[in-house]
Amino acid sequence: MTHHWKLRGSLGAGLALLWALVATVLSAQPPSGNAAAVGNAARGQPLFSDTFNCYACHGFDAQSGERRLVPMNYTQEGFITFVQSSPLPNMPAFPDASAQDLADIYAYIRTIPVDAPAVNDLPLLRDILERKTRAAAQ
Amino acid sequence: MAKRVDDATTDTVDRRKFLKGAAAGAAGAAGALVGESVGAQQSTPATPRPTVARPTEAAARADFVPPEPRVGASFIAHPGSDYMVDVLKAMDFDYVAVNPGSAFEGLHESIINHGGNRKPEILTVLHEEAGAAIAHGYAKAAGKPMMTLMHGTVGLLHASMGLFQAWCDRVPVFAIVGHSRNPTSVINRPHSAQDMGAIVRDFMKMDDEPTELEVFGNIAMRAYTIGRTPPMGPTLLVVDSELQEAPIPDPAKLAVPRLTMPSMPQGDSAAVREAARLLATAERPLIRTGKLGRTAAGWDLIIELAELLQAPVDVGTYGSWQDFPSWHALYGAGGPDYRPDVIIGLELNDMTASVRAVRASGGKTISICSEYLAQGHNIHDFGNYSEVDVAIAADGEATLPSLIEELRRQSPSFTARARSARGETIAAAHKTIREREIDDARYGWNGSPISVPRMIAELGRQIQNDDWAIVSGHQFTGQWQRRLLNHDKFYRYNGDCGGFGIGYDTPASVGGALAHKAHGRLPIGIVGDGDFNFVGAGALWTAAHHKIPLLLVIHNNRAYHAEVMLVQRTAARRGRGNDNVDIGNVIRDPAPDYAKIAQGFGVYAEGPISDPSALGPAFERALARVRAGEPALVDVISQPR
Repeated sequence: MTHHWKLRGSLGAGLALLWALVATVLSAQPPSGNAAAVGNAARGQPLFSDTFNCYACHGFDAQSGERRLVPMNYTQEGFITFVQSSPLPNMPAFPDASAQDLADIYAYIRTIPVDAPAVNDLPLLRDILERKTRAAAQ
Repeated sequence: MAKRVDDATTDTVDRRKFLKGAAAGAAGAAGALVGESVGAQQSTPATPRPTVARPTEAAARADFVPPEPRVGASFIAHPGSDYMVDVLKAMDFDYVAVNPGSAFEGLHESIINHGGNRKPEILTVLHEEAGAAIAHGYAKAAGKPMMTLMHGTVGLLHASMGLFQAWCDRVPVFAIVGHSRNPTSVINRPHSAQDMGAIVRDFMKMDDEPTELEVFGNIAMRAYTIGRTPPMGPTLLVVDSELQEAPIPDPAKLAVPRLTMPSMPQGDSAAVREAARLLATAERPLIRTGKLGRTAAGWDLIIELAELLQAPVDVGTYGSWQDFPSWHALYGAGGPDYRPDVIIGLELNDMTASVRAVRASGGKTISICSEYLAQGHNIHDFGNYSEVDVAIAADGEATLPSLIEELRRQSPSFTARARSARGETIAAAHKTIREREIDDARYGWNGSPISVPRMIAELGRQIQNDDWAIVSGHQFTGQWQRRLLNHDKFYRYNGDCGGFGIGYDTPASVGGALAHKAHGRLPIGIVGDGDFNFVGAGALWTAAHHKIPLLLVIHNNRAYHAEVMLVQRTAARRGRGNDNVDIGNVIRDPAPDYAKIAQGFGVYAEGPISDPSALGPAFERALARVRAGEPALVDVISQPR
């Protein structure tokens, strides 16, 4: 059995730019039905982990993966529209996902606390940064 | 000689007794399987009961087919395989990976008795794919090939995946497959083939089957030198078992050829001059590397080139060998605002993206790559044809000295200030990037499953005072290894598998660790659970048996995770929902306990560890074992990526 992977990293900067453009457009859209749905975080948790398997890319905690979802910086409407019609090659569009399901996932993500102590409070990371800085200066 | 004949007679009698015993034992075991004890049988002799028929001695003998009859059943003073070992010794092999088989028992015996099991020393492997992958990882870390021995079609087929990966990675592995060319037994017929090499020819630099001992010496030397000449790759000798067994006709006339290694191919001087001109006049040069920097000298040369030009070095993502110091200010692509006008690819077999990036703005591209010297082959691993401006068919590392010399000659002193300013701009971008990357690393810091950067950082803390070497690839940990571990020596990172196939990382880690053992380095493999499950556990036994120090970290996300994402993407594209994508992709229910598996193979192991605060102490305990000279495993329950 052999497995193949797509080279995800090579699109790097271009994707980041595209993501930023998409996010800007979506967050500026006027309210619609997507904004009206009221999310249920408890229902959103299994939708995130099991039904839509969002964890696969974004991590079980929605912040350890390739694109962090915590803290959630998008409006509910922008989030739903984006997930239903993502133009990004690495993020599949979910056109059949209901606005209610996505509102529930959105509500769940918003309940996940940010687990990111400051670098200065993490001696391990602070030490790495200092050593990297010294190495780069040599 | 008489004693040997007597031994043979005794052996025949013993085998007959053994067969009788085996048949009786089998019948007894069958009785136990149907739930009847011996005592119960004795107390109720007349009761009919289900049973398994005891085989006759003739039937048992038919199941235990004796070995092939050999040429000259009597004593052989100078078997051909002794000469073969003499030839192999001339190539300075340290090890040979062996999973035993009857088609090379002559060579096997000559290695351990005629050769004294030294240079090469036999490394017992539990699967031929593991043997090939161990040889693959070893060659990259040691800078020279290792041998692997296989038995007939079955051994070669098992090894084929490992040989394929070595081919795609352009790594020499010296493979020998024993062959019963004229089989007479029911077993060895399917292990024989009309054209044995054809099984793997699509991914071998050469294969051949010598029919005489003189030819063996000649072909073995050719296989060795061709395999080590860029583009490097595995080579195969098919060695008939009768040639191994037959006495050497006249030992005095059979000489071992002298090994003469060819020099590495260097670039044409005019083309190198033009490449230097383009680089010297570039405003924003960019260096991109593939399989470059395989030696300490090559490592120093690529740093010298980058610093001379003050050009960033983009090592790409997957597939690279050791390439450039990961914490150097010139590591990377120069930042988001760096728009290269000249890109030089060194051992980068596909420059298409580079050409596309600069052509519209009038930029130029240079390729120095040994792939131009490759002969045609079936596997599509050679990259696209690229419309570069200067194409140099040569080894990148071997050409760097003349390129640097020419660059120094052509770079006028008044450009020094411009180069220095360029370096400062790149260093500023590097500072921004490294701060952002460290900032990214803190997310999910205390979470469970453990984040990948936390896992790497905890490991880094434990080894920062060691002379360590990562002997696995890095693809399942993203860029976190290079971000959080300072790859400041050419041996810090042994590279990915080459062919993007699962199953390489664990056995190749054992091979890399074996090479580093001679230098007293601390080898570490970070492997996916999916990878470990292929032939990894058996490879770990090899490490335990041969006392190869290695810390194996299982990056355990309990899935073939890339495939979770791929099936998810496909299901979404087809509008079929995503709740079924786990099927066929996850490794749960039950979740394997890799620590127990390792312990079963005699290896110190801890885990599964899902609490990030427990990880550092677990690494510390396991590393104490590794520093003492033994393998150890830590199973880390981790985030998917």
